[in-house]
Amino acid sequence: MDIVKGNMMIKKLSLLLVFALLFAALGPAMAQDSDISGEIVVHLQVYYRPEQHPEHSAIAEQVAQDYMELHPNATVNLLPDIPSGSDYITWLSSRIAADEAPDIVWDQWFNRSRVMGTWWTALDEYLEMPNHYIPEGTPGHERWADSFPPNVLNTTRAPDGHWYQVSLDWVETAMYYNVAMFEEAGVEPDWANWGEFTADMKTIQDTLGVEAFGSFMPGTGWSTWYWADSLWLSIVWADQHSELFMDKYSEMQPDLAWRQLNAEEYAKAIHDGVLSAHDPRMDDYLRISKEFSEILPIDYIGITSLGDVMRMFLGEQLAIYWGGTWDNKEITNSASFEWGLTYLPPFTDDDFEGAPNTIYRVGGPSSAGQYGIPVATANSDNFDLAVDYLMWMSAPQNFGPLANEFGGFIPMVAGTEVGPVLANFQTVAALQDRLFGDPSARLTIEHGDNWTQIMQGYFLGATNEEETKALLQESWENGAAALCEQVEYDWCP
Amino acid sequence: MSRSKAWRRDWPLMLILLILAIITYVPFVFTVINSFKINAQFFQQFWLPTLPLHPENYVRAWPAMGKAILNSFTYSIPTLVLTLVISGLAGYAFARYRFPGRNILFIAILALIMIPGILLVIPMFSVIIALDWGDTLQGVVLPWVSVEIVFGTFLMRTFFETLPQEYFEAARLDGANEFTLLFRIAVPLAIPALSTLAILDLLFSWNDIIWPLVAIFDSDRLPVSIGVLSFAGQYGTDYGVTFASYVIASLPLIIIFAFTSRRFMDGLSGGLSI
Amino acid sequence: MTQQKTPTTGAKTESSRWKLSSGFVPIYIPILFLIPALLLLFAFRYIPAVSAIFHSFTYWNIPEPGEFIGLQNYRALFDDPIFIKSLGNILKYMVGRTALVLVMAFVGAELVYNLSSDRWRNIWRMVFTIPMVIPITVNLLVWQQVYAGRQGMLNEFLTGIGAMARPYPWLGRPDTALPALIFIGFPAVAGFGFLIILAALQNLSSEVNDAALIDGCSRLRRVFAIDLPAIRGPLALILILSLNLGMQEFAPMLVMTQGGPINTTMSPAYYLYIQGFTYGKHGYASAIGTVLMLMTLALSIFILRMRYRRAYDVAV
Repeated sequence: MDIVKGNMMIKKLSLLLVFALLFAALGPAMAQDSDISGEIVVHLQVYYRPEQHPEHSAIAEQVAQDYMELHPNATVNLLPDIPSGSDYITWLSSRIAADEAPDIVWDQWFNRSRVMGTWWTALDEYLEMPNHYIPEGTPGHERWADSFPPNVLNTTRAPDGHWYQVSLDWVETAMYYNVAMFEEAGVEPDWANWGEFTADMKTIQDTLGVEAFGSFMPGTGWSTWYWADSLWLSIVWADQHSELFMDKYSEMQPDLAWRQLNAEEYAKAIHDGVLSAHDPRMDDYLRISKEFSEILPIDYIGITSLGDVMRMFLGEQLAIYWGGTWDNKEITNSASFEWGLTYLPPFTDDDFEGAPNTIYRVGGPSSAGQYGIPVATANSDNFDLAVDYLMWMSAPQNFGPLANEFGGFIPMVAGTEVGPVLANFQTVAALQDRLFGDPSARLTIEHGDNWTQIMQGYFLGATNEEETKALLQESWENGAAALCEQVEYDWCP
Repeated sequence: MSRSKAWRRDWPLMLILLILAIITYVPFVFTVINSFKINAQFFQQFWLPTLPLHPENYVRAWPAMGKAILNSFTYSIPTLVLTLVISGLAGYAFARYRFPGRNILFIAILALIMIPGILLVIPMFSVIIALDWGDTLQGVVLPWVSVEIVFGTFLMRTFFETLPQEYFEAARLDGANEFTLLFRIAVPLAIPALSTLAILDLLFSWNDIIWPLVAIFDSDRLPVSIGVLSFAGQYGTDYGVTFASYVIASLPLIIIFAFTSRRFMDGLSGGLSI
Repeated sequence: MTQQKTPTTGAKTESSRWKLSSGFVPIYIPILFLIPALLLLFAFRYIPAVSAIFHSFTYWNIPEPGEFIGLQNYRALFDDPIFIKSLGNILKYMVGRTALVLVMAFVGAELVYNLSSDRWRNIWRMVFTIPMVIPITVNLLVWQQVYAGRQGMLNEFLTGIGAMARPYPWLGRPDTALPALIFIGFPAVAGFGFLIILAALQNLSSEVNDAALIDGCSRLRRVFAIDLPAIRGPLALILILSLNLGMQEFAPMLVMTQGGPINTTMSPAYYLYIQGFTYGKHGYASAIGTVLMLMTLALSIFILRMRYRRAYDVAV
């Protein structure tokens, strides 16, 4: 695998200039739509934090300003990001309960998939409409949905088949590694297979006395262990692609390389018994999972935030940090050592029989540009304005400069130049998508936590292989049943 | 007892107290030390100071925190005043008068301590919205007061019950009515107890995160408890500035504590008990 | 609860002191004094509490109104192994935490009380008052680093003095995670409990103490023979407040372990938070809250009964 050394110079200014020119050229071409009126509140998450990030927040303000000049009867109020730590969900839940949420609001796509139409407006109908703000000739101008890559649309589609948000950007992940530590341990950041990789990680642990691979697994909730888990499942079930996918979705998305199981496919595979924890493939899954747990920091279960793992890496206590595009800035600014980017090894027949000879990328829509419209707004006079503003925001000349100035995520709307962030991550981005998503995004969020708890029991020796498999099977069945109760697919019992 | 004799008697106690105090102050010192670091320094050294110092963290934290401190006072002062008045009145009524249902009522109020706060967030917010008090001063303050007067009533009742009845009887014989008794006799005597309650109330309203987060819509009016989180985020935290924010946020409380600690203790000296 | 067991009515104040005044005062006076409190409590405590209890009998998918489903949530709750486990966890946590806080507050207060100089007494009291302003978030961040893995303070200390051969993941193992949470904030002297106990001690009549000293009673014996029984009332109060807090604890779990490993630090209040806000099962979460409330109530009544079994009281 190619290694991209870090510390890239960022060519922000020239990019901005290109966008500015592009915008200046397109501006007059857009007809003034005076029908749109009303007042909305827009929450852009990290894209609008005027006190902490004045640079890109100014662009967000400019985008809103331009819109209001185009539509003099419309008022767009940007809501600065909520400094809430882990209480964002409390904030949003109470707002939704009282019909007081902003008109355009950020939330994680898997949270939207949980509540679906009770909180959010389906945008399907609007995605079929033309988005006039997108320049002619750019995908999306005739049909808004064309502006988004199929894998984004596929992943963010809710279990009931609707889209409750648009995802304007995306995260990619990679492994940041400490060059000096690798040299000292005599380890090359390039591995032929999993066995070689884990052996090298053990070498780092034993010779340097530091932690090898930075990932963590708290008792509940999201963690980078989720990424690993989805990879191991994807790898052992790789030969079952065709069995697991449903025809009705294959029509929509013929490109297998980018495809991830959606909730219905997942639940149906469990229901049909194709996906079973008693399948021999799961022996490999358990073995790989356990081997992975052994190269993690000793307190991987006691760490609760990715920031703490990054702190270990930047404090030179950890050789590899598995992080995302959004970490690029902090690591560039704060690392006092030379670092590089690499990725996990492929799984080959040396690792287990029938291995796919590759590794998948971990990337996804869990970024800052995920916006939806609450049901309360859909029932108000401001709905047209909210949809229109979402279309405006998602036009490449508006979103592109904003995303590239922040530089933490990869803009996913057609027509945006990809900023310098992706350049570092290109090797990973070129890989196939994983078949399984994060545990919390497979069936229900509760199922994801349950899966974590079972695997913790296995890693800590509280349950053996057979007991673990029985628990995993039960968890799968419960998760599928819970989803069936909520969505009532036609095949549900 | 002579000074040296006292010292000979006391030094083992003082030594133990000193050790306890040092451990107690670790988080405090740690916060101050780290408020002078930039991220790169913080990642390298968690516990000890590193050079150069970065006092500019305070400059960066100040605009947001200055505003947040003002905001916090606008919520905390009305909360404080109302809590004192309402708890004082209720505590006095329970301590001084016997009326039908007194004990039942008192138990019903005290039982509210048992309710997990997080359980009531959504129902309480629904009440606020039904009253159309979203994003208003009273929408923040009155629910806070309602939390605080539960313990406040208990504390004030306990205090008023320790006051000798003779004070009131003498005044009554002089023709004082119930309001005169309350304002001329009970309130002046209750100042220590009220200041105890005031401090506890201030600590609570200054540090509560969830309720202001839910009840305040305009981010320019968020209090310090949320302001300190401004520089901590999902996509990277500015640790030095965050710690500087914590230091700034606790300064007003420390100053108030330093000036009122004597009264605060006097309020407890009546003995708080069940 | 019977009348003489009413909390806070110290046994001797209850009947004798206030009887006189009651006859002269028109009923509207106490009502007038109580109205502001009752109005507020009604609007912001009782209505929400009743709403929460009502919703515990519903399937409540906000923002839609709850759909009545009878006892289904409660039945599911007592079949839920995670909830059952969380009850066991919180009992251990509560007992451990309360014992730690009570003992340390008492030790701290006795140390200060036994000093012979008033000036030093005030200084130490102040020293242990000010840390109350440190927000819980900062405390948790520091303690996370104390318990951390290879570079954690505790591990470096224990391996440094040779007490342990290799570092131990305190928060990452089922046997140590919960005790580690209990010891957060050690020595746990600074706080309200310390202040109440110290005030109660200073309130004790000095004659008793002097008599004890003259009788040749050692200081340590005096602590157990005189001080401890004398401050039973304040201790019971701290006990109830601290058990209450313990029962509703969820910040340490949220920040330090998120309930892991294998749910050994899952607390009912944190489980309520997850079920409600993360999984969106607000009806189920309300049932957890209601059970939690009833348990706390039962516990408090139990403590009060214990306290007033022998209704003789030297405190206050």
